[in-house]
Amino acid sequence: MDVFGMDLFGNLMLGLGVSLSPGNLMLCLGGALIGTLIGVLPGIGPTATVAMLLPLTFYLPPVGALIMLAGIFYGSQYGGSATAILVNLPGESSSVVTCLDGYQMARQGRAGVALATAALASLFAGIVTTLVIAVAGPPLAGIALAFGPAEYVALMLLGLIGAVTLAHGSVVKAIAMILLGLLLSMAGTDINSGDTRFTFGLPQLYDGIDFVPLAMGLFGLAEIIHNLEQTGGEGRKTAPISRLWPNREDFRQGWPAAVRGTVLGTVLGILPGGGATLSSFAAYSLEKKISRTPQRFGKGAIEGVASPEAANNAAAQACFIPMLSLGIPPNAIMALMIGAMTIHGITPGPQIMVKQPELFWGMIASMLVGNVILVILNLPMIGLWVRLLKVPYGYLFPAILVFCCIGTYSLNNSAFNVLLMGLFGILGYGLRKLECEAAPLMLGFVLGPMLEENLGRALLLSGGDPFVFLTRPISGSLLAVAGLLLALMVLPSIRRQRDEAFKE
Amino acid sequence: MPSAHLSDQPLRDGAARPGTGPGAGRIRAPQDLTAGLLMMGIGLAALWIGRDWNTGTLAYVQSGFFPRLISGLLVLFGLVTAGRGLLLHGASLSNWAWRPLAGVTVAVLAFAAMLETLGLVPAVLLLVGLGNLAGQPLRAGPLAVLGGALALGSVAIFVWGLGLPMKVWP
Repeated sequence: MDVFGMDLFGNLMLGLGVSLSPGNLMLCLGGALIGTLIGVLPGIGPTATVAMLLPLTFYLPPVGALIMLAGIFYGSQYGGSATAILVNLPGESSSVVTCLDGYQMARQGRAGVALATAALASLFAGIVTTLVIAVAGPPLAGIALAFGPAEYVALMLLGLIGAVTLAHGSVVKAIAMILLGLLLSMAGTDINSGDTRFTFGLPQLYDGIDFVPLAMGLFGLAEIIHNLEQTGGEGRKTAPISRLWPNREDFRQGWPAAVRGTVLGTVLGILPGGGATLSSFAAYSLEKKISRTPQRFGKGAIEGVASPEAANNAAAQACFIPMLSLGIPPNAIMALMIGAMTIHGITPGPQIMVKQPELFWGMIASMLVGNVILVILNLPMIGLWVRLLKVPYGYLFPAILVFCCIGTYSLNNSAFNVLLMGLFGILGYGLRKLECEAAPLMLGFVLGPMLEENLGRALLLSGGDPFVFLTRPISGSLLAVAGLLLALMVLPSIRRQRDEAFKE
Repeated sequence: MPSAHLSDQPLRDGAARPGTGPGAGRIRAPQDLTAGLLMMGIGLAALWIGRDWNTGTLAYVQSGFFPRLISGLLVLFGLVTAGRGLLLHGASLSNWAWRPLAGVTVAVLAFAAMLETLGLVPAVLLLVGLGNLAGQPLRAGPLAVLGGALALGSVAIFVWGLGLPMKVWP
């Protein structure tokens, strides 16, 4: 059935063999645990969590590192849902809607049920999406292997445009942030000519700006500063937890909602831009629309937790499809994963599946394992997470600072990187104040070298014809879709709908 | 004019920051204008830095091509953002929380400067001590315990555990 000579079952078995090896299982478990631990801290979203915990994986073998990072990612997502439910504080925009009914459930003493619902809905979505990835990934990579440089350029542009139009906020500013990221990615020595660019004569910059200080500064430090501004270092009051397991009535209401959320999340998640946020909002509106009792929403309706939680987990995991099979990150977290691959000397792209099947399938199978581990791990530990939420930020943030600093230093034993991280922290905070998002900047930074290389090569192959991107059929169609997305944003009625979709 | 005070609010915020053109009359969206000017500034600076770089020809692009293309686009998008800031109503500039920003940044930079000269333990203590000033400062007792625990923890994890080649003491 597929071009790589192995069937789906064999592939998944290979992957399960890798991910169930005791070492990797421990890494997955450790990642999920520590990811939840950091993700549950107030205000620290999945992106910041993954950025801060990157150094933990520097010294692991590549497969183990990626399995652990994926575990950290699921863990932090779950942790984010827990803070959304318990203290009405979304860690990232994708868990904003979980607050609406989740926190209301918590205030009614049903926090345990809400958390369990979130975990079970995410588990279901995770399992379904993993199977979708296993089925859809190889054919997609097969197509991508036939891509020339012009198609790659078009695909990257589509990915970038998709990422900014399907996210919230100003599209113009987001594109400018992509450009800034591209600009930052050029610092260092040009691989083709050996010329140095934007190094300001600093030998530390000859190898380019490292991805870790950039990510940690923009996401980690800026987040700490922002949190200090918001809370001034206080702890949070949490809702009490009583019953944990959903009863039969809860199951009856929550189950179909989780299924609908999963379908919606998977479909929207595969789109360029991988809309975890969009899909959770869309899932919530859908539930409200089809419900016979829409007045319960916003007052603790279990569907309002189950469906968006399933949707954002499905979409978050569907994001792995373009990342693994095409090497193109649809969001900031996947950009971090690609950065982590590069640190380990793996070139992201369709070749991974052929050249390193144990890595590709190991990672996919570890998603199954990770989702199961999360539920087993988290249901009994909810009480602990609640207690953690009460630790005052004044004690937490110095610990996070120490970890960020030593972690960045340990990448290359370079104090210069720590300095860079500090400066990028200021940049990240400033951009936040100007409502310019750091996520598109990160995407541009990660895609920069690949975009420049393929752009140059496509032009070279075409003898300097800039229209090659439009005249080649695949590249032309991809660009047409990107153009269409942009054009839609200009139409006032569509833009209003988009703004509304992110409001609720 | 009773509404003058309210409608002047964004303008005063805007005028308080350099680069937003004080006295330019009514600025409708100071936040977008500032963001646009910042982008244009970065783009123009990049164009100026790369002014002598060889762009090559379209058929054989050189290392100066991509920087010039991207910087030019950045100036363009900065211009659009700034223009919208002048024409459309939008958010005013929000105040910066200088204390957290300065506290965290100074602490990190001090750590960077001191790690290789003084060693890990003093650098961590410095980081915790200075970082503490960024938020609601802890009292001396808890602060000392926190600093000591973090210093010990980082030596245990990074030096003993991971075996990083780091100087621990001065």
